[in-house]
Amino acid sequence: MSNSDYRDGIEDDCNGTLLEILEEIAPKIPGAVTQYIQKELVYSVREYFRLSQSWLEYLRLPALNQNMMPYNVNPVDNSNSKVYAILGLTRNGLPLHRGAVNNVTTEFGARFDGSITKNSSPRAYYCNPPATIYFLSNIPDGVEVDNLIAQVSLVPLTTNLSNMSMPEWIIEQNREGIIATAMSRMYREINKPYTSKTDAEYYGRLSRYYIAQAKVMAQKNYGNGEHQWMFPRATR
Amino acid sequence: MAWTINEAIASIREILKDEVSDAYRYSDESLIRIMNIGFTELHTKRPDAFIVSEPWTVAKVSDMDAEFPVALNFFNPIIYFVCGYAELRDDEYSRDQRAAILLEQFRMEVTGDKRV
Repeated sequence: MSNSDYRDGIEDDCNGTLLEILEEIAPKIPGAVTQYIQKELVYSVREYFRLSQSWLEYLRLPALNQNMMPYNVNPVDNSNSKVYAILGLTRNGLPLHRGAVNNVTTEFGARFDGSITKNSSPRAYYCNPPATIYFLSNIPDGVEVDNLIAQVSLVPLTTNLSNMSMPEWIIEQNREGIIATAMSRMYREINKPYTSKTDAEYYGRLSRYYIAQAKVMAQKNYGNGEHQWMFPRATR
Repeated sequence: MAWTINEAIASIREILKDEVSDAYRYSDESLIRIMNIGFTELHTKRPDAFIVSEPWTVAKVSDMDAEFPVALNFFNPIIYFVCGYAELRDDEYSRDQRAAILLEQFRMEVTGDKRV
């Protein structure tokens, strides 16, 4: 269960944009059944966000104690989306290290004043795919780890276009890639009037290009990520 | 308004020149039976046609006003299939060449102009 309130107030109405995309691709695929194109569009959106991991969301986690571990992260709207991967975990704005999976028992947190308190942070965490968080040391009895925020990538769950619920901007941002993915999926089918090896290859390449680009954009948090570190440069 | 089985049968009878209601050469039962064979053929070639009526239904003589059970893209191909299949019947009116053309037309419209 997640207590995240980070998505509150975010406009989730993506259906208008998806219908625009449907209107755009349907005339390019003669002989296809409209309802089938709708399904393929939904599967394309799912494929696109699974491969690009570009639907990002910040989730505020509840204060965790030892009874709540390992902790499974769920999106706010878990009827329409699920967590595909945990991209990062921060506490009080500072990133926690991602550790390698191991069973070595380490001491929890840092002991600046000789005691483990609420302010102690776990040394590191690791994830069991897709969305289970383990700390690399057990949370001691009576200690709560609060102010945790997870950055996750989501994928839509629904198979129905009209039920699809995700932020409109993320569809708009990835519009061309979604179109290319849908077109490549349709053209590569066998024995349909619209089957086309050439177009399937062309749109397949385009789709992979957009997916790679979306992945990079998402890693940069759509241009809002932290500044990249660089050597100081001469300014004269 | 959605197209019905009745409208499909009327179109089929036009092509078959079998429109004299008190002396039909092909009964409704016979045409519906062929239509259902057409639906099974269609399901083999284009399962996506049935996305509008999953789990897929067939036509029944008892309900001729029922909605055409597959996407309307396939209204014409099914008509060609039924006419072609009906023409395969061994009687004095049928012509094998016409039957072959109609069945080929069904295949082409369903799969595109591709040899399968």
